Amino acid sequence: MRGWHFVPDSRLPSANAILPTLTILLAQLIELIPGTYLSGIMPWMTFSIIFYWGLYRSEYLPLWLCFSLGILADILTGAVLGLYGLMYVAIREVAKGQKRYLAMRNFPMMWIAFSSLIGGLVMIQTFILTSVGYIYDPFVLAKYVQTVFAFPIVYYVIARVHHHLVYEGWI
Amino acid sequence: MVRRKKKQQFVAYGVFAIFACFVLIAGQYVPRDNSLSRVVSDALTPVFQAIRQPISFYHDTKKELRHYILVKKNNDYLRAENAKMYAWRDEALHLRRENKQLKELLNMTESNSVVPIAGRVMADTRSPYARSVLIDIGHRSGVEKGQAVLSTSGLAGRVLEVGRYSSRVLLLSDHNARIPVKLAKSNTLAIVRGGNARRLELILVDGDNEAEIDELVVTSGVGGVFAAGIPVARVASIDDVIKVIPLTNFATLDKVIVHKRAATGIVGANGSFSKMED
Repeated sequence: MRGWHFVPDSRLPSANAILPTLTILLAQLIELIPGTYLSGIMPWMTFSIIFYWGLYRSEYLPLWLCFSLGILADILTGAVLGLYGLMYVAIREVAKGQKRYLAMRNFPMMWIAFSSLIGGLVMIQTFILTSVGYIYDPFVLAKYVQTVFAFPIVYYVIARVHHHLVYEGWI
Repeated sequence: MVRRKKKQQFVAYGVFAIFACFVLIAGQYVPRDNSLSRVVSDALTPVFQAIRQPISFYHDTKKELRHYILVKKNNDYLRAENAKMYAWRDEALHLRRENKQLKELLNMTESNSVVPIAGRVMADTRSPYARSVLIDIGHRSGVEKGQAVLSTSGLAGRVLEVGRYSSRVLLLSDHNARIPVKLAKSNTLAIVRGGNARRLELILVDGDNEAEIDELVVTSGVGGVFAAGIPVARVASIDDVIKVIPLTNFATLDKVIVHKRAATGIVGANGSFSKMED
């Protein structure tokens, strides 16, 4: 399907370079706006976006930037410092590592890969945090399910934005 | 060559996993109330307010439209309620006069009055492991750490950290939240403990007294952190542990009121009270 896969282009490196950071920051802010989502739970849109950039433009999302954006999310949400930082880095690294394999596959395969990756990471995160005294919360499962179902929408939007902004020369 | 590269990758992932565990364990010892957090919240206040504008406009317009559509029904309801309120007002005025006379007779002094400060939730920062929200009022408006934060239904939480233009509110449902309360009917003292879930745990200080289903739980005022009598929750189930449902719906929390009354102490998980140093 046209638009699912972005064709790499390097005509506008500056726009390419800031787009991952901008989209992640925007998603972080949207995730925090109150009263805009279903039953008080917002999917982790940033995970889908980092997965996308990890696959297609990991050079514009360096590890330090990825970790810093995660730390910003930790500060904003008041969560354990380093929680999102490490999640972001792990998603980016796995997506980058599986780039050759996933870029050749169809979208459902990519969706399964994303769901498995986030599921695994959330399980590890929950295990570590519950073992140091945090309480398991079904909120995590609900958030995970929403993230998985929101993935095609977020992925499609980011792919279209990437395509239009850089490839078709909106900027 | 390929095997060596794979081995290196495997080692790198192992190191990352150990680093991740270390950061997560060390991260929980970083206090939530830190200056970096306050600076970031303050800096992003205008951004959150700008993003909120169209959403608030949409919600307000929707509410207004609903009011217009239901104007006839609401009008009849309000007329009937108004008639009841007149009777209540007369009784309240009579009781206030009587109360004042009795206090004068006993030479009682008035306790600290509470000044309300109105604000709005600008960022819902609830996550699976922390339940807090950011509100758009801070030091400049008179907000101080430890003050009670109320929704239109009841207690929502307490101020955890205060910036110049924004504050973070620790919600009742956070696993660190402990509120000294009492059962409205029996006056039994208790502690409400959050557990990152919708239902909160009620720990009775005097274990002999039993709660009733649907009984109202209000703040006890013990410790001087919160004023006494603020509605908190209702008893939902009584098994091995008593569970209560907070009156505030945290998912739709929008407008809040901060009770301007400085905190003087905190109540520990076991009900002990200690004075706050800062």
